[in-house]
Amino acid sequence: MSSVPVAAPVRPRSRWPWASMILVLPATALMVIFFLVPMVLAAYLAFTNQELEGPHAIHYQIIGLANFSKMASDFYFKNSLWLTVIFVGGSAVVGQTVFGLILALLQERALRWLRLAVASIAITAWVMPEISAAVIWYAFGQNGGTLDTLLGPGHSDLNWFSTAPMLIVCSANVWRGSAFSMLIFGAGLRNVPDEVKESAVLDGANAWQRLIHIILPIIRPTIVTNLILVTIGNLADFTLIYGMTQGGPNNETMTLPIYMYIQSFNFYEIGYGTAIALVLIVIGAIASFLYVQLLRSEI
Amino acid sequence: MYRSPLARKLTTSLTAAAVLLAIAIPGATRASSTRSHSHAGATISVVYSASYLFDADPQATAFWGSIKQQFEKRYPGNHLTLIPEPGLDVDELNKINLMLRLPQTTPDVLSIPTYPIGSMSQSGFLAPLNSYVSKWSAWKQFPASVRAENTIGHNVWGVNTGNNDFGLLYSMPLFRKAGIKVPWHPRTWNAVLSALAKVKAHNHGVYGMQIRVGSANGYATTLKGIANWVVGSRQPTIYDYKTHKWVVRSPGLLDTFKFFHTAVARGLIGPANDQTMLKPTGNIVWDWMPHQKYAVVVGGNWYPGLWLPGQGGTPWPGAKKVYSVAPIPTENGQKPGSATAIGGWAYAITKNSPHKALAWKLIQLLEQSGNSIKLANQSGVIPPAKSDFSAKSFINFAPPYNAAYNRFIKNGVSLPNMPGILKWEQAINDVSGNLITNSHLTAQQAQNQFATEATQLIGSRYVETKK
Repeated sequence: MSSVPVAAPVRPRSRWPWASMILVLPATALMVIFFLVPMVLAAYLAFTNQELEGPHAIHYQIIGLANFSKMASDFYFKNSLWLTVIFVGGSAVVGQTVFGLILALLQERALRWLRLAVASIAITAWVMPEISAAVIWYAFGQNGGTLDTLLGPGHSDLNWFSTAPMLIVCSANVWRGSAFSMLIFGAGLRNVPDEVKESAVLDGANAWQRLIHIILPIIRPTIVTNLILVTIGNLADFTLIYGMTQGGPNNETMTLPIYMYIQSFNFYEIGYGTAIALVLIVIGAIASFLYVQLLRSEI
Repeated sequence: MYRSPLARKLTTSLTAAAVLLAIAIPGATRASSTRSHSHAGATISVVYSASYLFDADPQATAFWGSIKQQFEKRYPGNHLTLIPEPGLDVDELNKINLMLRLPQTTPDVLSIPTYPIGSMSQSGFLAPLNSYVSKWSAWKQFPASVRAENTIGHNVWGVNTGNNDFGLLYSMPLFRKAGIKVPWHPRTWNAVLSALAKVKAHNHGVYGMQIRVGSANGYATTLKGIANWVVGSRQPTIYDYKTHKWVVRSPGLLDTFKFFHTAVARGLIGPANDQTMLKPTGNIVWDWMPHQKYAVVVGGNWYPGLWLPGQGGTPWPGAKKVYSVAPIPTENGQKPGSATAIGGWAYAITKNSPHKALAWKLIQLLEQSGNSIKLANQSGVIPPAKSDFSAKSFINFAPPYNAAYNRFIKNGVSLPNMPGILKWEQAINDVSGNLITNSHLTAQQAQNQFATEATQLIGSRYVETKK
């Protein structure tokens, strides 16, 4: 038996991948300069008493956890935290998700032209710059505005920004963000096998039962992904709220990003403002962690 | 020519990086690069608001363009670099505060609102101007109240550009119909309340008083609204310069809150929405006032100027036959007899400026009558020098109102331009907003709320109670 010579396995070259390194260098440099350095610097500033203006503007000190202990007794902070929960919970976690899901479900059965029309309108609201959306809703909700005119025959002089500011801000956010959830759910719904739905019909399940017992359990990973994305996306939402109300009236819409801005750039407390930003990041990280745990248990 | 994919990618990446650097570098070194190109003389730079101080943006561009021409003509060989900043006053200040952190990005002259002067001087950002103003004849033309605005302790940190003061713009036809003699000159707060009640009783569908309250628009809201009452109260101290503490409880504050509570409870202030809104002044002067929606509007000196042609709204030549202006009285008619908060803009020189003497020459040029009055008319401020605010070219710009508002300014009280002012105003704006929206909030409750909030924001070490 003649032995067939076997080619020696080619050992991977242990050469340093210079070409690849050079290619990723510009992107890496940009990430380091514009992302990593500011992040580290921000984390550092959160432990200082630096001001933008005032006695500690140039000569500032490390004050340990003082900014964080200040938060514990700061009722503006507590108020903002609560408002953030309402805003993110009400308009994003519940509002955008539910509304996006409804739109996606309705689109499944809609005529092609209607589906296209609705999707176009919803997506227009989503791709519109936030500040434009804020101006539109500002005009919509103030006294003498569209909503006032529609609701109050004659002139009710109702300004939704003082009557129910959080409601109008949340509504604007649902209006703006539902398209995003709609797109995610649309993709999820297309993955629900037709035969599963058909067998449910054969078993006598009505539309509601099919939704609750068949469709939702199947698209649960999509729901969780959507929840993670809208929570993180809305937790730091600044432009829409600031453009509409500046956090007012009477701080009724002052969510954490707005309070962070006010502390940093109105009160010049950069150290404290940065500490609030850090808390915001931690909240986002905890929420994402919880959602991911939820997702893992479902797969 | 064939190039390998790697070479192409490399070229693309390098080009992208070069473009990014090209975009980034001029912005970063804007202020510093301007210093080097002068040969014979020096180059100084001035930062100013491109879209807030002047009534219209093109006016700011034209004004500063003309200043540059005048400066470079008068001081040949020297150059003036203009650094316009867009946005609101707070946006300009934030940008300036960031520029001032590095000597190489520090401009020489600043055109800024007066309220941050105290904290900017404490930052070590500004140069004291004592030695300059002491030799400057025009300084004596500034009323004491105006000089005091930018003077902290013994140091002058800024030279006033112009001021706003406030009065009660009242509708003469509505007052006459109610049997109140015009010109109206209320002597006390109670006189204001009783006049409002009478006017409302005789004019169906007319609201009493319009006043800015609430947290929208921050410092400007305080200045246009409740501060005018605090400074006219029987205990008007807002900040104690001896103890360096903010007053969070005083009979003056309590009485101020009482005035607002009474006015709201008696229905003498219009719908809460009108007072707490985020709307520009245009709504008030171009819509509500021509329709006499309000009998009295607490209005700034620049309101009547907005009825002139070319100010952005519908001109109202007949305004002077309808609205006249009365001074805001002190609480019980005590001296000096009228009250107004004043706030304005100032020119300052930065501590790191290498050309302070030249910078001072620029400020002197800016303060010359022609320039000062032009800025005043186009920005709706009262020029700081007495000779300028009594000049015909200013008085006749918006007659008869400018002359009337001029009379109020000598009793004007600047809000303390000390660190903490923005926190004080946040707390008092919250309370004023609550008083207007909630008629059940008593004066004492409002006082407690203000003391708690102000203490929380400013810090318990920096607040005190005055008897």
